Amino acid sequence: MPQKEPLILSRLPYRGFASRIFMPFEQQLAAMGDKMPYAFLLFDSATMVDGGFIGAQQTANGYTSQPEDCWITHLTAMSYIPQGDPTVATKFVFQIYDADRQKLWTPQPINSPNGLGTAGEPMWLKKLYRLPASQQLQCQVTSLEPVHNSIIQVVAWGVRN
Amino acid sequence: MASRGMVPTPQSVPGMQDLPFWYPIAPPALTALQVGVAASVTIDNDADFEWRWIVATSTGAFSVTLTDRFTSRPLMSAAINSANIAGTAQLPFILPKPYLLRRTSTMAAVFNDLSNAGNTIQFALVGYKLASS
Repeated sequence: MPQKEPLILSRLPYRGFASRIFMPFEQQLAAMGDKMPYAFLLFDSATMVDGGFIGAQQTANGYTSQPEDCWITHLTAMSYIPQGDPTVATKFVFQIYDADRQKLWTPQPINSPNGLGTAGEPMWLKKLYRLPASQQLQCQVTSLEPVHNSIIQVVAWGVRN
Repeated sequence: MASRGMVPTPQSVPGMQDLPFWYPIAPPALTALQVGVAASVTIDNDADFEWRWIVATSTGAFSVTLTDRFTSRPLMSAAINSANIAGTAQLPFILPKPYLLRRTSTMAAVFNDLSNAGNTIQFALVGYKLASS
């Protein structure tokens, strides 16, 4: 008889294989315990780059580090050019590095639509990703736009105590 | 065998009496690139609020910082851009987990315009008033 999988914090099977819109199960949400939602800024050109912009083909780095263990649930990003249409995302690639595990999430930079969503359609992780206390989750962003003033923000949403 | 009277009624199922509720936060219209416009919403005294979704409409892009005044804890370390925090009714932003806002507590928001034009924003916390609270 197949054994039923135990309900543990690190596994949220309702998300399925792909990142899709879903209705969370109450039992699994309750398993997250008494934590609060939190937006971990992985990269923000406004606060992490001199001048607040990313230049043409420029690469820049950002990171988040928290004083306590946290868990990441989904990824979003917003990118635009100030004088352009803010609803049209500018092109960029990104790469995430876990300084605690000393591992890259991808062997090479990934186009933003392949790894990041938006608030309405975020990129849900299949399993909660633990961010250990005082460790950095770094994000390297490279603009693919030929303009000097792209604005890019990458957010990892999750929970913390 | 079917048993009459065993079909759960809304009154007998936990949560079925909870009231879907929208708490809008509507700051004054922002001028081009205006920053630091504060607005807030206070949870009604009749029930605790189980906050589940964020939706917003605006005439341009914006960023926002949210702080739960009850715990004095912000929900982010810096302002989050609109496409990263708010969806629409059709595709709402789903919080990583529901967040309980106590009755009479206040959620404070600080808005910044990113559109370089006038910006009228309605930002709403959507969830349930808990009947059991």
